[in-house]
Amino acid sequence: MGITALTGAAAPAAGQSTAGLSGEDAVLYKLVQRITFGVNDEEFALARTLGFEKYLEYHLSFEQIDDSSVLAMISGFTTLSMEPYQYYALTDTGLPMRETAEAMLFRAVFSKRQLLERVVEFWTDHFNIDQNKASFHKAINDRDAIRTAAMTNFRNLLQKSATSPAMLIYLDNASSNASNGRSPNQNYARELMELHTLGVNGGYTQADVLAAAKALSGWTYYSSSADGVNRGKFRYNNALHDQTAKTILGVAFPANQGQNDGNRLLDILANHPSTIQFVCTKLFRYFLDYTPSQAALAPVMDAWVSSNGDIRTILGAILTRQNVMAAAPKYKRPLHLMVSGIRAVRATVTNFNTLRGTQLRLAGHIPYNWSPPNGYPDAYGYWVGLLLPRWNFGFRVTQTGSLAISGITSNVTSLVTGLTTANAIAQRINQLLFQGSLPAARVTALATYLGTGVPSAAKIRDAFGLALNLPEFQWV
Amino acid sequence: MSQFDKNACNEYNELSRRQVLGAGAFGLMSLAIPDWLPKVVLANDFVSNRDVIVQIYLRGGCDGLSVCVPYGDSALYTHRPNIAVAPPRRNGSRGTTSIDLDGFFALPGSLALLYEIFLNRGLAIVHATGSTDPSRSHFDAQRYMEVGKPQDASISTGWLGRHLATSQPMRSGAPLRGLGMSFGLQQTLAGGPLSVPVPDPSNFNIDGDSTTRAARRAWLSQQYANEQAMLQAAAINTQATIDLLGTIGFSTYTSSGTMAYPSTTMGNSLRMTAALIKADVGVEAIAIDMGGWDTHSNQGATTGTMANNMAQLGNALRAFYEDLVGQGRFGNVTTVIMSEFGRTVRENSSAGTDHGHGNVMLLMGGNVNGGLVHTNGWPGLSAANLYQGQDLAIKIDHRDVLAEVIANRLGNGANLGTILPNYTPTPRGIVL
Repeated sequence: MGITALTGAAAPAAGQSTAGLSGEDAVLYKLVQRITFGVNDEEFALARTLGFEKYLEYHLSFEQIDDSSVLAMISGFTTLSMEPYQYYALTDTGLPMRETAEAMLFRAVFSKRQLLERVVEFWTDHFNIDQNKASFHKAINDRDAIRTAAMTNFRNLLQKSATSPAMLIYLDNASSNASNGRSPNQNYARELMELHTLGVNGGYTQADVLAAAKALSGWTYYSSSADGVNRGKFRYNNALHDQTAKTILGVAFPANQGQNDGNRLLDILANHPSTIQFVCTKLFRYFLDYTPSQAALAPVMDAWVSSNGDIRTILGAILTRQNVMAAAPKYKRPLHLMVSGIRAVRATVTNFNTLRGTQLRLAGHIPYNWSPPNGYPDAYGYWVGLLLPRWNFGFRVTQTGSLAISGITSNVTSLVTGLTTANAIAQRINQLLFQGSLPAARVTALATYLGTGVPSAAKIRDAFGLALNLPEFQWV
Repeated sequence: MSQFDKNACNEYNELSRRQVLGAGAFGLMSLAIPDWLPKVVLANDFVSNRDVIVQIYLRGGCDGLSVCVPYGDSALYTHRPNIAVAPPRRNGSRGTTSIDLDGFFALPGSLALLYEIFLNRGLAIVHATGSTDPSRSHFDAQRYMEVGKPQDASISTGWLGRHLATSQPMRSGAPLRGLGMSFGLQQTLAGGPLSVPVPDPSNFNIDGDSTTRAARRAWLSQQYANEQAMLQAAAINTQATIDLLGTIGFSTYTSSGTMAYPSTTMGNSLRMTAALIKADVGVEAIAIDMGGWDTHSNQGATTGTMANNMAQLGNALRAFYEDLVGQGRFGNVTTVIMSEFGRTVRENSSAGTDHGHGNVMLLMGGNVNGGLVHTNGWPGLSAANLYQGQDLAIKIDHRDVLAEVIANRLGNGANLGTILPNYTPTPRGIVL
């Protein structure tokens, strides 16, 4: 991949603008926007230092990024390192999910492994689990399935998801019993094919769903207090398994194969052409473009095939210079918007309780709280109608005292210390929140709001809030 | 065109509407009206030949065989040894487990509060109905039902959105016509002019210092004035909705009927719906979602998940009914309740049911052909009669029912071809 000279910024498009940036800066700004939870000074400076390819490689090799500062922030969340069986003994069984959500938000805002966090968010939706049904089992799923396997290999990730008690509870496979001709529970088998692998048009039939449900029967978990330290872990229970011969997607499964029925099914699904098409499209859409072209997807799918589903390789094939430059604007989902806002105003955080309980709740984006199995939508049409909670977030995260979001402290007036004119402050806001990318008219409008004379602290805080509420901040 | 519009030059009404639209620009607070009312004098002469439509969508695939139990078909009890709602003790009996409707169908005890509405002919039940789309995917099935055409992925606007787009506002100058009580606008309403998602109408205002609120709002309006069309519309609608909803005291609204709204999610949603209807500000289509119907395991029968869901729905609907009757508006509101598909006739090994096909629809209003369970011949539950060997068959396309709602209650029969594309509905006599 050669570095070509740029004759201007990325293609102009409604919604997101890099009007104030030129050449390579515009490309880098776009890259940082797409692979992080929000551009800030530190991240943008890093991208400029490393350049496009090395900056991307830095994030893909996330293990080598020292993340000790955020680990220190979440070190007090003791349930994150517990074994599943220990959760059952907690007096407060809601604690693991609260700590999981808090830790996720601390990481989204403060982790230096920003691409990893975006990938984790993607798989969290792809393998969606509602905590209201799975309870604290989702905390284990987040740690041992999603986070552990997010950047490994799709087959590996699929196995960890399929053997995750949270998933088996959420999609009811845990209670399925297909022994001796009983009707298996079809829920997980269907969503495994429809949502996790093949896609709804991926070529399976109702007969395949039923046969897959039989193949997966017996995949459950140790749920009894008598199970001791195994409690809360995956269990294959052969007594619940349908031992008859099956045909799934045209493949013959001989009788009496036990747990291998399910493993073989996952083998077939993980690298099925429909799966490759479906998951590559979703990943491309998540990072770059709501409607990726088949031409753009072809090399990505080739990368999947040649790497046998290596997620880093696939991401590298998506996040090329050409693709990033060509990417059409994407609307930030509420969590992305709010995390990027907190990063932009350099807030300090003691906890996200109010953000989760108020701002994210009112925007309809509470972590791990989406009830249907398809995950929070990645769709402009779904999110665009409800602007008010987004604006209210901007108006609060920039405030102090009772107007602020409890647990999140910003001090935006300190970011413009020494500046005494509306114009200078507006320019600084453009620099801090947009790396100077705002169109000139927006900067002028901010200055107009700040008014004549030396702007008051209240005016400055308002101006920061208004800037976060600009259309440009709603998009990447 | 409603009579209200014909009377729009009536000074009283005109003043009232401007007050609403102008967010209290006229401060006539001395009028003897309850706190919850908008600063508007309500039309005693509210007469419309078009109804407000309330759609309640039961997300997840509601089990219609529990909502309206075909107890007269003994195969039900063969297929469902553990989770079938037990039959009434005898014809005509009204028990705590089930209530006989007609000698063949029964309401479960969890929906007992709907029985009075049924007896009063305000509730029509349609059975073995649904979307003929064969998908057992929640998301495809919902989509094709909401856009109003099976298996057509090219349509993204909703049938109700297209109704709004092809009809004059029920009230001219209304700032808001469609309201989805959801975080993202339901696809049913997509494409509808002046249609917005409002998850909680009682909490819809700009945060922060009240002394700068107006200036901040004005600034944002300017900045969103030339944006991508949907975002620009969202900004305009958001501002108008803040003004409109801010004039209605949702939090203190109480029923005009004899029954208080249950303090459940559905109870609150219908309470706010009733407040919007009573406020008479031109909101004419309200979409409400209720989840929790995807009962793959431990569905229960007389008690349990399904019974709890049904009780929440039925109790809230009864309160809504009593309120509308008390308001004198039961004849001006049609409520349509449906779901993406029914569930498997056989119970599974988790004592639940999986994704099926044919289902039930409920219609509530003063002009439904109520007190009846409408079928086009019961398809039967014996194995040979099941759709694809597992599900209740569909004998009435749900669009036949919607077409009667659209033509007879929403006054838009002329545009049925746009609202329900490529479909010729069969008259069923369910909505009059």
